[in-house]
Amino acid sequence: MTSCYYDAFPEEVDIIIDPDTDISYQNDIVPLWVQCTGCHSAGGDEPNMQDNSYNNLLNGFVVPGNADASILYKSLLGTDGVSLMPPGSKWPDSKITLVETWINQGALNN
Amino acid sequence: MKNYKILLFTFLILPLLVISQQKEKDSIIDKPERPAFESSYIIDNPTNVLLNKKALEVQMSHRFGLINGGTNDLAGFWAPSNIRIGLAYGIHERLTIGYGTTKFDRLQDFNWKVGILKQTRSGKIPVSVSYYGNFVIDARQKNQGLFTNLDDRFSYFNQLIIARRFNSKLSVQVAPSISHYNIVKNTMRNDMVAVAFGGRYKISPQTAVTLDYSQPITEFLIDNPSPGISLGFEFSTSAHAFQLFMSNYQGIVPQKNYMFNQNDGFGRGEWNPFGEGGGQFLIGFTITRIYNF
Repeated sequence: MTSCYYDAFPEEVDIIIDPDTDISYQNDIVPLWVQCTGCHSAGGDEPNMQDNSYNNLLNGFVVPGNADASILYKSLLGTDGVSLMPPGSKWPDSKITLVETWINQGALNN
Repeated sequence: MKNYKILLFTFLILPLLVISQQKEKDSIIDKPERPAFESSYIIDNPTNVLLNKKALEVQMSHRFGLINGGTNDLAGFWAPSNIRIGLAYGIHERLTIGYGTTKFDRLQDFNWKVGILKQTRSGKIPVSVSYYGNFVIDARQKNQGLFTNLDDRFSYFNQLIIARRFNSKLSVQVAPSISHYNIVKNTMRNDMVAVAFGGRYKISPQTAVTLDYSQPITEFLIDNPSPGISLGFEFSTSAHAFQLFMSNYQGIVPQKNYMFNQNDGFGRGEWNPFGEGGGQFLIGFTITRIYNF
């Protein structure tokens, strides 16, 4: 059970998302928040990403159409003086690119 | 003639007397040296200190967010912080076992420390040597899709801690280590060889300045982990130790820091403490309490 071995996660391929492909908040983005709701829930850290996450994110954490100016995107990269989220373990590029594209497409509640 | 006999007898037993005296002297002086450190951790690395038999140590460690890591977070106090609560128990004078749970990545660590050599007061054995090892399970939820196999969650840490207590004020230690993760990104290596240097200098009977420096040696293809630099104060009583420090390590389980730390303690570009180009430090504290049964 406690065996020691040498393995690597599959290679990350460059994620190219067609700008014309609509990213759905409900179907593509909300499932990503499962890792965040342990802390970001009612009575926990802001923003609350468990209930009414869209409105909470749009309230200062997301600038629609501009991922680079959004605290949400900066926190996934841990840049610009914003603490890395999730703490200590950066997400794979595929997830970050998905959020970036959603914001740049206008951060729609679709 | 009788006098000669007495004289001869005296000369004959003289070496034995001398030897027996020397033996007695040695047995008085050659006691084990007092412990080099006050508790199980110097700051980020374990010390060589073992618990007494049947002693229980409660460990509470806390790392706040980066001092310059965010806006409106009171130098990291209101930022997400890492916490570890642990217990260690002395099964034997030379064997301590422990368990701890850590907030970030939900790491569950099972650890053991073995005393190999004990420094003696005569200096016959000039250093203490302990071995520290752990086995860690990443217990993050299954539905996050992070791991395929159960064993992918496992990591291991092995460290040899060589410590010397120079006098009642100064103690230092050198600790080479190997960290192993069963699965890592393909730009990393599964094993990380590293070495740590630590020291303690007492500035009063109950207060000491502590320093801990951890240098990763194995190189990755990209994102090499940054070395750990920690400086703090330790306030100790017979059963308590309170440590307050600054560090660029936010992890608490050693291999997490050695393999993944990206907080740069030396800073980049034009140096300005905690500002642009300055080191990425955070504040932390550790409290330990020992109960002797």
